[in-house]
Amino acid sequence: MKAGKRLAPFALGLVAMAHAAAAQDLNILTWEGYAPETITRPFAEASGCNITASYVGSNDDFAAKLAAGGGVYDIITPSSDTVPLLSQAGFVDPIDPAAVENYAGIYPEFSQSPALNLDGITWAVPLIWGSVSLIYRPDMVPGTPDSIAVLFDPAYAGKISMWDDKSAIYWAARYLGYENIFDLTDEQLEAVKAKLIEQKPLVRKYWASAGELTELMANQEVYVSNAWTGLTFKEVNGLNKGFTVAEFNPKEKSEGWMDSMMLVKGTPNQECAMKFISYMQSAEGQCALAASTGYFPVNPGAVAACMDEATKKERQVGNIDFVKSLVMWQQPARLDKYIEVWNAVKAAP
Amino acid sequence: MALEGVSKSYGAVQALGQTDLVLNEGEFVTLLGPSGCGKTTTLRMVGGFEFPSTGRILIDGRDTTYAAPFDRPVNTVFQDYALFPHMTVAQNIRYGLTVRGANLSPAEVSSRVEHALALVGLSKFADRRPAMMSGGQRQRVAMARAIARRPRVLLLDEPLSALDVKLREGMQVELKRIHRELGITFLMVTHDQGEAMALSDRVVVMQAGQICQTGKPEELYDSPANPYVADFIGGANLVKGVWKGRDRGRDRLALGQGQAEVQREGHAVAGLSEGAAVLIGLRPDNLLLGDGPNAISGRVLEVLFRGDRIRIEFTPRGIAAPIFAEVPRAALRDLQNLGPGSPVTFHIDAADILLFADEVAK
Amino acid sequence: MRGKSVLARRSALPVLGLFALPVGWAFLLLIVPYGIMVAISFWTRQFPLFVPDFQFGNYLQLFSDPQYYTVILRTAKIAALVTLAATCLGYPLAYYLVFVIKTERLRALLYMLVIVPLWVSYLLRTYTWKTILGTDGALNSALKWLGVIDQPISLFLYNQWSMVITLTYIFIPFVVMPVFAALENIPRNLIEASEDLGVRPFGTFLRVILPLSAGGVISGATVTFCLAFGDFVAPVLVGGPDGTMVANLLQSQFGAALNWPLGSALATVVLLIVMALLWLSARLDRAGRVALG
Repeated sequence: MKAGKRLAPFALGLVAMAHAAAAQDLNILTWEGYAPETITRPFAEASGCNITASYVGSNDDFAAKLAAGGGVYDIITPSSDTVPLLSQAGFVDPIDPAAVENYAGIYPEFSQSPALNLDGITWAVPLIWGSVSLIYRPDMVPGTPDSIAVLFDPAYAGKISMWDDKSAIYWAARYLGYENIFDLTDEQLEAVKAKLIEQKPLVRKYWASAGELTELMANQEVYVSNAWTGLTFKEVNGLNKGFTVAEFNPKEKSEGWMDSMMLVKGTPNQECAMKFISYMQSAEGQCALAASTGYFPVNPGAVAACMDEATKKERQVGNIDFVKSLVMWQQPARLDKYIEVWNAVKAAP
Repeated sequence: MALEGVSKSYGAVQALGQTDLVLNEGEFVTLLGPSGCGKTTTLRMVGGFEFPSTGRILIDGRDTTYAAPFDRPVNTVFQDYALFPHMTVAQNIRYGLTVRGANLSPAEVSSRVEHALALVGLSKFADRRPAMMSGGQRQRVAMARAIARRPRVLLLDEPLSALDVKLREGMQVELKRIHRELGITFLMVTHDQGEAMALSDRVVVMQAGQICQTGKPEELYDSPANPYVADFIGGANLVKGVWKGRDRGRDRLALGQGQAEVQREGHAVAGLSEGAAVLIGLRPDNLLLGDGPNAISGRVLEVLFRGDRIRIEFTPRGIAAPIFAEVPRAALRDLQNLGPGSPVTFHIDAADILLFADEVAK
Repeated sequence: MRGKSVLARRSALPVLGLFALPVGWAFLLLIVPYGIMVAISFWTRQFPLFVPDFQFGNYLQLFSDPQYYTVILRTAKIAALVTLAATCLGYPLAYYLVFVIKTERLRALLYMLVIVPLWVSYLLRTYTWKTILGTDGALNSALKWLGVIDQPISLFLYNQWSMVITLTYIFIPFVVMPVFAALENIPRNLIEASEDLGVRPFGTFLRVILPLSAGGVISGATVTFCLAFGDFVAPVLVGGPDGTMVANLLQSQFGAALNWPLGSALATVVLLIVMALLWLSARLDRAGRVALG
């Protein structure tokens, strides 16, 4: 009896190990917060696939990590402006939409976007989306700002921040009134570069992560910045620092982004990967991710039952007009040139 | 130069007890004693590297007790020479001549450097670095560097101890010559009594932070103030004995349990009464082979060959401790088969016997 | 002759075996990667990736486009300022530990206190400076409390000075360690000899202590300059919009720009700069050592 009792945990352990061996592994390279236990656990139970998540700090990391030949990732989740680069570089395999459950429920504006579909081939399946708008300190910025001009206003010298990303070019281009912000001419790029360099003395710090921006705002280092819509101002206000931060969409439009799932070339875990892509279009997947990140679901049908009305409104569910009010990120026609210009801005004294 | 009531303590540990010492102009004085006797502490206080706990140090009548090292008319030849490794020999010597206080013209500096180098015979090595020189050469550089400053007193801290025996003897001659040529006061510290005797006008024997005796080398050798000095200077067999009385300038002494009795000639030792315990000092050199007055017989323990001299260790009858004697090799010619166990007899001149009251036995 | 060569061979084999692992490790993980890096620096960027080639365009770009040489010069400037500041602060600190502190235990304790920060994450220490120098930071709060200022000063953080301050703090131990060792190795009697020869303490410092500790200063300064030159954390955490350094540029070329050829060319140039510096430092050090014998 005694011996049996003592052996029991050992035997249980063996069973658990056997189970683990039978289960398949799925390696995801994604953003922090995109693989919470609220997704990985139910998904493992439903599919028998165990998720191991690695994280990136920026969209540029996806190509860099795959180019370095890591070879251990099955799924990556870049934003739509980076999707074309990854397929052009040959780092990913196409996906058959027919094999993705609930695919039809995704906003067609997303699923059928040219960034995700090239020559009739689908390279990516939408995952989640959001926007980038402007935030400011109402107690420090008089009136109600309605323009990107606030980012270039000498009145706020030393109190301005911007995301440390090539998207700074998009903001400056819109401020200068350019429409073709993803395909600027050389002259336009020169003007944008000059504008951004002119702005540098006003900038306290280019922020590298949402956390850093929250800190910059909370510590009163900056009063205006571009920011992930719905995220930063809530976090800063939640800290009760004795001041509040407000958010607005400038008349030159805010930016929209959408993260999509892509299948890494030659993945040995294709079955699990496809199961995961389908799972993320289900009510469980979409609601869990939206809840974990605070961003907006891409599949309004899927979240119909698992989200209350207030949340649906806040997360822009079914509000396709909002999507249309945004400038959705695209891969710049001359990506290299854009990155070079942005680096030149940062290198400038 | 004079020390007046100088003492030095480190916390509860006394390194030097109340000490008075006067050095005459041009004198070569040596502080002699084993390590820890306070001689180096004394020298360092004169050099200004340490300050006395009590007393005064006067140099040329000026109170320099608390003056900084760079502010006293003395220079030191350090034990490990302390040459600046990043400078040439000439630069080392010039180092102390270019300071503000020296007030020397460049021409004077050069002439002093040359003179100092010539004095120690290193004129050809001016541009060498210390690392490229032998121990003896470095020693000379250290000398040259110190004397180039023309100090009132030259302090020498075990100047020859790092040299090998052969070199040391040569340097002794050099030191003596340099002292004579310069005519300045030398204060040397050493633990080597031979060196002290050979070089000094006056030797100060120290023990445990106290001066035991001060005097010319011959005085110390001939009439040591106590058994310690007797043993330290020249070496001595110290045998316990009993004072039996004195008449007509001679002491009657019983050695050990009284099996041997000797007559000693010399100044009376104060405070002895009949039957008093005494220490009798017999210098190995003074023990003469063969029978005679003041004879001591015993059996040979060991015979040690020392070149021109033979050292014989023997146990005298009735005395517990063995006695050493050193005899010229010629004296042994008739005793070819002297070896351990052989009977042997020595005698000693009454005037050569040293007598001390036995302080410990009291 | 024959016997000797057989002997040499016999002893060479085990020696070879002993060193095979470290030598192999160095070759595989140091020499080979450098070779690959230099090779890639001649490749050509071709969107979206790059193709093998042999051309000097990347190097040409580095030396013709101001955005690259500006950053290299800025990095050199910041590294030089950090080296200067760390040396000026680290030397007196080491001097204090060696010559002023009298008890061995206190010296060991203070030395440990200087070294101990090296065990704390470098990132964390850099981050700490943000909370000190920030607008709402400790320094501004203290100045406000003291009544020196009534509005927080924003000049403390997010500029090149804050980078120099932070990096100086981080690299001071790298100066203190070799200088401490060099000062400890100076025989005390040399200092006594100098004073004995009539030279006052300051003159003794200039003419004896400083030259004899120059080796420690050189190695400390070299390490500091090289580490500061390659730093990429301080610009991100405490640097401002004008704080981009070479390492950030490298990061961007290998990441965002996905331009490994240009990145490799830049890395090769940095490597050459650092190697030239190490060579110079070794020469200076050797010259000093010859002088010391």
